Parts: sequence; C-alpha cells; structure tokens
Amino acid sequence: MRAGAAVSGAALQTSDAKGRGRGGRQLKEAAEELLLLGNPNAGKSTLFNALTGGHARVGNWHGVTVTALEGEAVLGGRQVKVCDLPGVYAEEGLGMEERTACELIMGRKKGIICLVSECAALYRSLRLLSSLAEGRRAVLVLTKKRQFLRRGGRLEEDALERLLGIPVVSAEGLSPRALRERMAEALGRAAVPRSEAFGGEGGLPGVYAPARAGLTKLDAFLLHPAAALAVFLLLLLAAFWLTFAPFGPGGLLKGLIEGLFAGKLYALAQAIPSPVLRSFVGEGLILSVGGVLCFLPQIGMLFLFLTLLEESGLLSRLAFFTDGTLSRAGLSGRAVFSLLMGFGCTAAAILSTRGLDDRAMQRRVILCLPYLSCSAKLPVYLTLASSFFPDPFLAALLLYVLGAGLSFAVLLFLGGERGAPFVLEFAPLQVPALRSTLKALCFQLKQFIMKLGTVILAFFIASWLLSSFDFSFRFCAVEESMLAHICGGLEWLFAPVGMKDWRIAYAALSGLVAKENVAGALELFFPAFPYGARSAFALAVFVLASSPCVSAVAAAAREVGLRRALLYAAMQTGSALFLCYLVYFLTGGLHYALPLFVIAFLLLFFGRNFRAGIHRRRGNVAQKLHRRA
Amino acid sequence: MKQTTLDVCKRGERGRVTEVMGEGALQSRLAVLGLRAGEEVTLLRVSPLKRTYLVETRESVFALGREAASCVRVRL
Repeated sequence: MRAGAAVSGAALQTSDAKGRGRGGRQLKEAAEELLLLGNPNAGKSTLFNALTGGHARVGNWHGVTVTALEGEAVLGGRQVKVCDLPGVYAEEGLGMEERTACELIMGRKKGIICLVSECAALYRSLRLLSSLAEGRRAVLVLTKKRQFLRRGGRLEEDALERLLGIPVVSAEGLSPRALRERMAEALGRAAVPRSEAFGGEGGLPGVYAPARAGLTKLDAFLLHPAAALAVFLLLLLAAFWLTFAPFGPGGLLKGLIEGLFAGKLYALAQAIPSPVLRSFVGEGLILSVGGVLCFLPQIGMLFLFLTLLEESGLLSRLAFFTDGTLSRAGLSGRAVFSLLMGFGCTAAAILSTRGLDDRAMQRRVILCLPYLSCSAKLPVYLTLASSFFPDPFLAALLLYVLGAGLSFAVLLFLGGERGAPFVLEFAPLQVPALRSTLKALCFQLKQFIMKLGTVILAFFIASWLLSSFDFSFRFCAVEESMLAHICGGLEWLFAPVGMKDWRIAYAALSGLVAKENVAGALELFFPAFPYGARSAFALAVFVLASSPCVSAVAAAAREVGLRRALLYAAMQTGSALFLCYLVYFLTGGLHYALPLFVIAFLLLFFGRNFRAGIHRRRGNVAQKLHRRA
Repeated sequence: MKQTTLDVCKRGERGRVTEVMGEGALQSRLAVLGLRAGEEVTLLRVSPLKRTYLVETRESVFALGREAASCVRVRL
C-alpha cells in the first residue's frame, strides 16, 4: 500500500512518483499547483499517472479515487505539483469523498484548475467549473473523444478554446510524453474562463453537438437479467478455472516454480557442507520463500480477472443487478466494488469504502470484508487443501463460497438499512485497454514480490532463527528451540481440533502480520502436513475467518478509528477460533456439534433482537428523503 | 397525461420531470445527471427485484435506487 500522511481536512497521499527521485527535495510553496477537477471516471487519475509517472489506481467505474493524491510533474522544465482528486458532480457533494474534493478546491486558492471532462459530459463539467472555481485560472482537458465522435457527437477544439478563453487539450491517443508537452504549453496560457461560455440552455452552437444517448446494443443484451447472470457465472467459472485448475495456466505455472524451488534449488542446497547454513538456505530460504513465490502465477490470474472486470465497465452493470439483494443485507449496489476488491486485497478494499457515502454502511462493509478471502490467503488454502480435497479447484471453490456465505451471514446479523440513496452512473462498456491492464497487473505483482522480499522474508528468517537455536545459541532441533519455549503454551489453542502443536498455532497467528506467512510457516515446520483432513479444513476455516493482516487493520483504523479497528480484529479472531472448533465437530459427527449449534443459534437469534432494540428507529427511509432541503 | 413518481413507472415509459424532492445534496446530484424540472426522462430497465431503476436523461444513463426514484415526479 502507498504510504500516507493524513492532513487535517482532506486526507492526502504522496504517490510514488518518479519526479521525486531527485534528492527528495521538498516542493517550495511558490511552485505551480495543478488541481484535477472533474466528474467521476472522467480520466483524472489516468492524466495524473501520465503527468507524474505515479500509480494512482484507475478503473472504468465511478468512484475509484476516494482520496486526494499528490505528485510532482516536470512540465516545460518547471516543477508542478499535481493533485488528483475524487470525482465531483456538484458543489453540494452527496458522498464523503466528493465533499473532501470540494473542500480542497475551495481551500487551495492559488492552484490552477485543470478541468478534466469526457467529451460527452462537457455541459455539466463547465457548469461544475463555474460553480466551484469562479474567477480562477483554468485549463480544459477533454477525454474519450473517439467514443464521443463514434456516437455522433461533434466538437471543434479550436473554436471551443476561443469561446471559453482557456486552453483546451484533447488527451486521447497522446503518449504520456506528448501529453506532458501539450499540458506544459497549455499551462503557460492558463486563464480565467469567460463567463459567457457557461451560458444557458442554448448550449454551444457551432462548436459542440452532443452525442446520441441511450444504450448500446451490447448493453441492451447484457441488461437482461438472465443474460447478465449467465455472463457473470461464465466469467467467474473461467476465472476459477484459469487460477485453480491443476491443468490450467495457474496450476501449471505453479508446478513449474515449485519444481524449481523445492526440487532443483533445494537439492543444490543439500550440497552445502555446514549444517547450519544448509538448514538456513534450504529450509529457511528456499522452501519457505519458494513455498509462497510459487503462488505468484495464480495470484496474478486472480488480479488479472479483477482488473479486467474493473477496466471493462461491467462493474456498474453488476452494481445495478445486485443492488436489490445487497439492500436486503443493508448495503447498496455501490458496495459491490469494495466487496470485489476484497478478493484481491482486503486493505485496498477497506480504503475504497470511503466512496460509500454512509458511515454506518461503511462500518458494516469493513466488518464483513475479511471473510471475502483476499489473494494472500490463496497460498494457505491451496497448501492445506491437498490434505482434505484431492482437487484444488473444488477445495478453493468450497472455501470461497464459505467465505461469501459467512460474509452475508455477518451482514444479516448486523442488520441495519442503507441510509444514503443509490445513484450510480453507468460507465461506458469498453474492451479493457491492454496497456493499462498490464500496467495494473504488473503493479500488483511488483507489490507482491516486494512484500515477499521484505516483510515475509524477514519473518521467515526470524522464524528460522528462533526455531533452530536454543537459548544458548546452539543449533538444535525444533522441539528445544527458543521458539518452542516461547510459544509452547500456544499448543492448547488448536488442541480441540486435533492439533496439539504450538507450531500450528504459531503459523496460524503469523497470519496476523501477513497472510502469506501462514503458508510459509507451515512449509518451514512441516514439509508434509501431518494432520488429517478434518484438522486441515478446520485450520483453513480459522484462516478464512480470522482478522485480516496488519495493513488491513491499519486501513480500517484510518476509516473507523484505531479502537474500533482493533475491536473488530479481536472479535473476528475470537469468532474464527470458535468457528474452527465448530467446523471440526461438524465434520466429525453431529452429536458433538449439537451443543455448539444451539449456542450459535441462540447467539444469532438474540443478536438480531439485541441490535433491533438498541438501533434507533430510523423510520421510513423514503420519508426521510422527502424532507425538504 | 398522468402524474406519477419514477419508481412506479414501467420499462420503456418516457415522460417529463415535474419536480424533484428530497435532500439538497440528492437534488444536486440528480440535477447534474439530468433530472431537473422540465427535462425528459426515459425508464430503460427495472431490476428483477424492482429495487433499482436504469434511467436515461439528456445528460447520462444511470442507475437509481428505489428511494431516490420515488423522489422524482414525472408526467408521462
């Protein structure tokens, strides 16, 4: 995750922009500042990335950017501070991030406004400019021109420039370098727009003709509920097959990497004469790092699917169809974005919940997100799966479905209704651009490898050290090591599920730092998992339901406060342990499970009433909305 | 010519907005997207559970939840 520095009012993040490389010198106040203003999904973040070389998240749906992002660009030899903002529709923002953006624009009086507008939405962008940035210097950047022209729109840039009195740049089709040059030139001519330009309903005759509105043929087909369901299930199945099937690309590549590490490299390591070094390189490094690295192709496939979904615009259609079901669970269609991102990275998904314009709903989403297994849990599942299900495909499917079910159950238990109204613009359907998809994918893979090379590696080395030496620093067996003495007491944690072993508890709890650690720790201590199917499954359920990793808890702390975030983490881990025991008993024989079943049922039943009781009567939501402003 | 709210309309019906009720922020958002008094609106689709409506205006195509849709009065 990008490091952040919260500033009072608007939360700003510094991006890992290339421009920062020169000695990391601080930007002086006198330098120019460019504020990217525009409707959601207009292309601001894409422009930001092109200008600063940063990695702001982009996606073809409304609400990707939820916090302001700052970066530096070198335009025409000058240092310019560029600020990417969440999308704004109107001055009176409906969502939390919209209000943040408006505050920032009003606050930074010296910045030049860069209005980023889709060609099709020029009218409302100009109106936005006039309401938010009266009397300030501005530049106009037009995006998605090809699509606009294809649908019958017409636009004369030079005439528009003359009419508005500000420079106009059409960004489509320009390479980042060309774009920087055009922007540098435009910035030099930035001026206060003419007030006549924001004229009345007459539009901009002779200069701009709007495109044909309405649904494209593809949309008309997709928006049939049966077709939509079929398409989505097909995509899901394809994603699962590509990722998990033993003979699909994910499985095959995993086998290759595994063979390389556990086979060849490990064999090479056996040649090392010193037993300490042999153990360090063999078990400490090769097996554990290799044990996590081999999942890189599969994690890559998962992220590819998510990126394609984001880039294509299908998410808006998905939100349209799921809004009904989600509102039964107290959410709205908007939550579908965060929920899907939860399958990639829980921390990123939690950060994206800022786009939800309802604090109570945001809290419920944050609470149920960890149950949607993030990509880091994949290695653990697949490592354990071979013990309880011969087919990794089915095992993964089972665990993901279980996670989704748990998530839904938690939402139903929490109750609550969605407070804010659901309004979501449909992003145009497009074939995902190869370049941006690959860029996003490479970024995710790079993050994974960096995480592996730093946090996870450090953890493995520490684990190996503590588990290979005793307190007098003698090289010894695991049972006598420092770690055994420190963590010996943990052996009772998983004793009820047939694993009275501190190493299992240690591995499971290491997931609180990073979920990949669980898989690595298991590889370190157990070359072959010694416990049976029931225990393996119970452990998998524990990992599924326990608190997310530290970065996700930190992200949650940013959104809901540290105390609450820690409370959630504790509750989730506690309930995960309970669930782990429950599952073990259920798979063993129902007579053991009966008392636990009763307890679980009672909790659920009373939980509902308890919440209904303390829940303030919200009244009819529609009635609330009809309150006159 | 009958007056009704958007959430009881059927798929394909077209009309003119007479009034948009609700909180200021919601009114602003709907106005920007094209739901203003006097503007044309078409109901493109209704979701299976009848909780979400796909609406087309001069400005854009967007999805609307039932609560928001019930704030928009139209004359068909």
